[in-house]
Amino acid sequence: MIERCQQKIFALALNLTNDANQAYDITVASFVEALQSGNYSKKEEAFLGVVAGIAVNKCRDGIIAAALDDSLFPDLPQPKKSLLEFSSQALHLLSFEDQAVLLLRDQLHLSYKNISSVLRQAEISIKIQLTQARGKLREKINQLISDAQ
Amino acid sequence: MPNNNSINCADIKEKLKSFLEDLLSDEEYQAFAVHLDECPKCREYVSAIGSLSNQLWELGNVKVPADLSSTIIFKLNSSDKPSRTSDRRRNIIIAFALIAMAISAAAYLVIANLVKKEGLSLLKTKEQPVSEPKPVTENITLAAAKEEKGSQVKLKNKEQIPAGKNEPREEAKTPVVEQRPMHWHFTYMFDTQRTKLLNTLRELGIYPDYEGFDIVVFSTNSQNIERLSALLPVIGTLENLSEEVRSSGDQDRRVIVYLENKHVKPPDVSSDKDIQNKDMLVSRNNTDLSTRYSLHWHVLSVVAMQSELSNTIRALGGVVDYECPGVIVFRITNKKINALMAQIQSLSGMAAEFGSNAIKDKFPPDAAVNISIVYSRK
Repeated sequence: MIERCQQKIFALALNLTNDANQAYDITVASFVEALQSGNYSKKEEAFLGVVAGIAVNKCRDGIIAAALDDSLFPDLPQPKKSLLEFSSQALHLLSFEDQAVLLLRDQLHLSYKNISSVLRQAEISIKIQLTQARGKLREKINQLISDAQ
Repeated sequence: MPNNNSINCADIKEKLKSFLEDLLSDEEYQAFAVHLDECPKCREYVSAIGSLSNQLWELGNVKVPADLSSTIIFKLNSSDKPSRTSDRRRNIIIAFALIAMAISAAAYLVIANLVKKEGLSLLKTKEQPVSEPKPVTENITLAAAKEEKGSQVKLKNKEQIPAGKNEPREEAKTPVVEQRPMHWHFTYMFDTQRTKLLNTLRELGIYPDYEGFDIVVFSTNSQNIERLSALLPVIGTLENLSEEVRSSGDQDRRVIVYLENKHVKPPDVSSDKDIQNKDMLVSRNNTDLSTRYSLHWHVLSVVAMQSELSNTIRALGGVVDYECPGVIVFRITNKKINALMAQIQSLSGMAAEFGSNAIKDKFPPDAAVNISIVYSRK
């Protein structure tokens, strides 16, 4: 279960902190804390939600200044890489909470119920926040693309 | 929980638009996501769509470090934090131990009663022979021999501890390190690799002799050193300081790892009260690495007495954090370094060689500098 979930949690931490070393440490600590607490279901989605919740909190506490690093996108073809770069840049222009809700839904594909327990907000608030965050992200990406042209 | 069988590849195409626009119910969404995890064709098909949610999904396509899962398992197994299952296990063990003790005590009483009835004594000391009573003179001689042995042990311990170690110190006590052969290796890593270094050492059953702000010192054999150099991303190589190391075979070796901070340019410390107010040192509790500086000196010369060197450091207001034969780790104010260099030269007759001498000129005069001196002695 660790091996199946670790990639998602590492990616989440990496996108939130933009620091590979910090993402590594946060991933390890999150899994250890989740497994030691014994407070998780054996179902993968529920376990992923628990670990993601711990990881998000650790990222929030230890957030550092974002700095783009080309090594994050080593194997992508050039056109897609540009759009991904813009997406990554735009993501880091959003607030931490917006980043977290976007990544939990669109990257980890967690359910609203799960995200609600991770971020400790009502489901309806999560849905509203997600809609707004997507709008902001779209705006930021378009702005970055037009600034680059 | 959605059933994996409730959605198939045909459903993916049908529900794709709803998925990308986040219009599916929770159960359908989960089933969709699980199918994408398990079906590479559908995953590739969906991710090719240029949607905003797919961009975020694609940002998750990062390579995981190869040792991540083994580190998690290692940390889990070596963590001191008790879990519910270990609590239960511990309670069971304690219960068994108490029962065993009670049974042993009861058995002893029964046997003692039996023996008493038979007129024998169970209480004998090791020094007294069972068959014949010891003459008084022998007892005195034995006692004297024990006392002499004890004093010899004390003397031996005293020799091992460098002079000056028992002097009162301002900071935490320097740990006593037992004598080890003087075969050195040293290397460099970035400080961000500290956790990985310590985890790898523990995996190999190695526990550091000292872990400081910018240095880790440990002892091990040549076989482990080879394993370490294969496992760890080091900046430099594991170098030998002298020919005797190469020919020392499989004897114990000491390894010094310098942990380099990525901040090359010393930041402005004008707001750091510890540095401004004290002539001496930054508090050891200061975890802000950006306000602490390091120098690594390799004094490749013969120094007659380590105690003289550590006394010199203390006389100049330095604080020794750790020392063992051939290594001294200490902190001293930058402006005292020149005086220390002069003293080392007069003690050893040779100039000290500095790994990063030029950098000290960039530090503020009152800045605390962490220094480690490694030297050989005959």
